[in-house]
Amino acid sequence: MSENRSAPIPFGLNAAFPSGEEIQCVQERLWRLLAKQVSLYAMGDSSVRTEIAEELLRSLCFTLHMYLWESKRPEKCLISDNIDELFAMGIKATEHQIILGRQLYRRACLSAPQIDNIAFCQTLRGMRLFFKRYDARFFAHQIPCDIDYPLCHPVPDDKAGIEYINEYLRRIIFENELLTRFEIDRVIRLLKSAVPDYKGLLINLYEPAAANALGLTLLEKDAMALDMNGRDRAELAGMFALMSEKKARESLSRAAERLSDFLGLRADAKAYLSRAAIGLYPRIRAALPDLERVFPPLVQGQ
Amino acid sequence: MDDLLLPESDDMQAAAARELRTCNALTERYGLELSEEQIQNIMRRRREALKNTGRVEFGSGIAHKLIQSFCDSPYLMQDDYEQIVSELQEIFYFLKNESEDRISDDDLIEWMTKGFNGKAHGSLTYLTDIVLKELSGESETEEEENLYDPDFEEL
Repeated sequence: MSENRSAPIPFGLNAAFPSGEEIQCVQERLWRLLAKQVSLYAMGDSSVRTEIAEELLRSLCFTLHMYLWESKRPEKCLISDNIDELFAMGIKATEHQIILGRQLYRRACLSAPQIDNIAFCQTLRGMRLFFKRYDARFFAHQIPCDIDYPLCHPVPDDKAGIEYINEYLRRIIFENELLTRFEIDRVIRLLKSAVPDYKGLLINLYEPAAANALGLTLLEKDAMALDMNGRDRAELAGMFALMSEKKARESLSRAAERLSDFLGLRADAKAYLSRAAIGLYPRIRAALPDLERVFPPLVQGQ
Repeated sequence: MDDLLLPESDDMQAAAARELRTCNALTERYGLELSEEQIQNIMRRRREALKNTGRVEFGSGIAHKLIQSFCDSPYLMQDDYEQIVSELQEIFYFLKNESEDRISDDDLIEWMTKGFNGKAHGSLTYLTDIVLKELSGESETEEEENLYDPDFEEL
């Protein structure tokens, strides 16, 4: 063993091991597991391209991570337990997530607002391919479909494979939940105002509706209208100009809570809206005193 | 990603050396034998070939399979035995890449052996071209006639 063995292990599997010896022990166990996976993948052939071996290694680390995450067991069991058994349980954990993912996908599609945005529709339609192509055995960390639609809060980069897809779908469902509370015609008129080419551009559909509904809630007006006129914006500008950052964020957070209760959002969707509300603050600060870009008016008529 | 894959373990290296040692019993009858130093050289060349071709190998390697298939070749002599086995390894990994892994180890070794004993007449340079043509489907299907009888060794 003449070469350096201190490379980080994918999916943070080395995070719990302070000593180099323990990390080396985990790496050797992963190496043996990788040899088996390569043999299965190559159907008995002796060698594979380095890129394939790296992908297989990432996949098996992801699979082990899925087991640890689902079972809430500590990383230390990668040393104490039989690694083959842990891997087998990781495959099962991944398969559970695929079942959950299918349910989430169905729900995301059924709850989608009738808004003709190309990226939104194509991303959801294209996700069918994920469930057809996903290879939990050899490439569990990969995402074999195109995901173009930008969420209000993107899924963190450390998520991969089915874990990423399920988190993405959860967030789509939160966004759908809010959007479908409003008259869809009003949401579309708001989008037209905010982004005239709302059908063709890569925009998030949730943000404008969430912003205007929050703005109206702050003014104690009808959030369902989604319409902010010049006087409303001026009033909000005056309000925020006098507030400290802390006070402004608290005010936005309280508005999100009131709006969530009014719309009857579930707890997760409520937390999602709260994050969106707090995230509005830098945009408001930058736009003051003219808040038309943050709280656009509705386009009149169709 | 450069450091993600670990180097070969001591166990794997020992297994590879053991496989090559056992080949001597088979190749003895053809006047071919590998010394311990030659075995280590072949293993070193294997590591270099894997690195140069961007491949990773587990288990005991491919050299013993190449020896088993090539040992009765009339073009293999003790003088350049180690050199040819080492180069055959390199050609093997190169051709695995060129075939995009669509051809199994055993089939590729069979093509290589046939090409080496046939059209290439023992030339490793020609062997690569011949198998590449086979892979691309450009090769003529007719067998080249030659005077060598593969059953000669059995007589």
